Amino acid sequence: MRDTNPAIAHLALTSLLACALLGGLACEPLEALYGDTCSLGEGTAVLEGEWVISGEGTREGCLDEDLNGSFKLGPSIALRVEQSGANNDKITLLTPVSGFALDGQINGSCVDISTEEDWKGGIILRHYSGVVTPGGNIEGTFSGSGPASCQVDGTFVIEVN
Amino acid sequence: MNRQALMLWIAASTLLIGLAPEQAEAQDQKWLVTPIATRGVESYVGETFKEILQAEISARNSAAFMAATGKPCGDVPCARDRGRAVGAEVALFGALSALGSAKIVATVTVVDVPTGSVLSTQRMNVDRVEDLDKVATRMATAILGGTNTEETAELGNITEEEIPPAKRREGDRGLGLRVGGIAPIGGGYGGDAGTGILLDVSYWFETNDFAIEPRWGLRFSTTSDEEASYFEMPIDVGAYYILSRSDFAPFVGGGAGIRFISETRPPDVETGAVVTETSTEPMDDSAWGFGTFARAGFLLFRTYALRVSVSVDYNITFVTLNDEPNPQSLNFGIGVMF
Repeated sequence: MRDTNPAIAHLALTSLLACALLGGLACEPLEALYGDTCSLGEGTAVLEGEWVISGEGTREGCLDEDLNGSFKLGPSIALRVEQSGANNDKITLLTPVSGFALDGQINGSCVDISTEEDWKGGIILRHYSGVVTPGGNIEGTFSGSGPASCQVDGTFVIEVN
Repeated sequence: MNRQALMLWIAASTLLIGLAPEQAEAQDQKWLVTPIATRGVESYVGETFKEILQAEISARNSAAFMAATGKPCGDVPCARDRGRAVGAEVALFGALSALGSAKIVATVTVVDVPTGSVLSTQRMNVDRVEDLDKVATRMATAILGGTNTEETAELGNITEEEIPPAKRREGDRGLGLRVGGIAPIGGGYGGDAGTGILLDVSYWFETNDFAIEPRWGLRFSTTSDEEASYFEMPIDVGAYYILSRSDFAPFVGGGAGIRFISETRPPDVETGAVVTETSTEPMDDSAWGFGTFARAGFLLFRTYALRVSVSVDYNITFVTLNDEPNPQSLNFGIGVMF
C-alpha cells in the first residue's frame, strides 16, 4: 500500500486516459484508488513539536469484563517530540515523561511509533502506524496489548503543534 | 373347712365384690330396654335409637331382652317397676331431646331392678340424627365397661359434634393495586438513571388493627438514556399496624422478601495516565437478593369495602451491582384495596 511502483503508475495513467476518452464518466480521485497511502523516500516530514494523541479503539480478551469493548483514546497530555538521526528520521521524546516511553521512525510521510506506559504494575504497549496529512497531523491505525491480557486496535490522530 | 373359715371366706368374697366398680353385668341376665322418650325429635328416631342400643348391648353380652311396652319411662322408679313387671334384672330408660335447631341430647340410665339403684348414666350430644348410631355404640360400650362415653371414643365412632370447626375471627381481604414512583438514593439504580415508575399487585388482608400484604412489584427507570437505567422486581410480604379504626387511619409497618434487580450505568473505566483510554461501553449487571422495606402512610375509607392508601416506603436491596453496594430508594404510591 505504501509503494508507488511503476506498475501502479502505469495503471493510474491508463485510468486517467480512459476517463478522458470516455468523456467524463465518473472517475475516482487518484488518492482513493490506493486509500491513505504514505509516500516513502520523498523527503522526511518535519514533525517536531507537541503531540497530542487521540482516537478510538476496541479492547477484547480482558480478564476484567469492564475493560472489554469500545473506548475513547486520549486526548493525551502534550508530548514534546524531537527528530534526530542522519536523515532526521528518528522520533524521541524531547521532554521525558515518567513511566512513559515513545520512539518512532519517519520514512517520507510514513510514521511508525511505539509507546510503552507503566500502568498499575503492568505495561500498556501501543504501536501506531500512520501517514502525515497535508495539514501536518498524523493519522492512522494502532494496535497493542495491555493492560493485562487486553488486546486493542483502533484508529488515531496525532495533532502536531 | 370349719364354720369359722367358711364365714371368713364369704366375708372376703363379699368385700371384694363390694370394692369392684359397679358394672352392669350382663351375663345371663334379663334386660329391659324401655321405649326411648323423644322431645323435639321424631318418634321413629327414638325407636331406631332404642333398637340400635339394644342390639349393641346384645352384641357384647349374652343377656336376654324382655319385650318392652307402654310409654317411655322418665325416672328410676318407673324403670324399676317396669322391670319387675316383666321379671327383668336390669332396666334401661332414656330420652332424645332436641336443644335448639342443631343439637340433640341423648341420655340413658341403667337401673338395677332388684335394688332400684342406678348402675350407669350416660349422656352424649350430637348435632345431627345420623350420628345417633355412633352414640348407641359408645353408650353400649360404656354401660358394659363401667365407664363413660368420653372414654369410648375411637376411630370410626367419633361424632360430628365432637369435631367442631375452629372458630376464627373474620378479616377483610382482597386484591390490592398500587401505582407510584421510585426515587433512588445514593449511587445505586444505575447511578444517574433518575426517578422511575412503581407498580404493585398484592393481596391485602386487614383486621381491626393489623394488615398483612404479600405483594409482587415492578420498578423501572423512565429515562431515555441508554447508558443509565434500572429494573427491579420485588416479591415481598409486609405487615402493618393500623393506628385507627376510622375512615382516616394512619399505619406503619414494613416487610421483606426477595428481589431481582438489574441496572445499566455509564462507563467509568479509564486506563493509562499519559495516553488515557476511557471505556465507552455501558456497564450492565443484575442479581437476585434479599431486601427489606419500611412503610408509613394512611388508609382512606376504611369503613368501606373499597379502601385507598397513600404511603411512602424506604427500600433497600442487599446486592452489589457494578461495584455499587445495596441500592436504596424512596418509593411512594397510591393504592386501592378491593
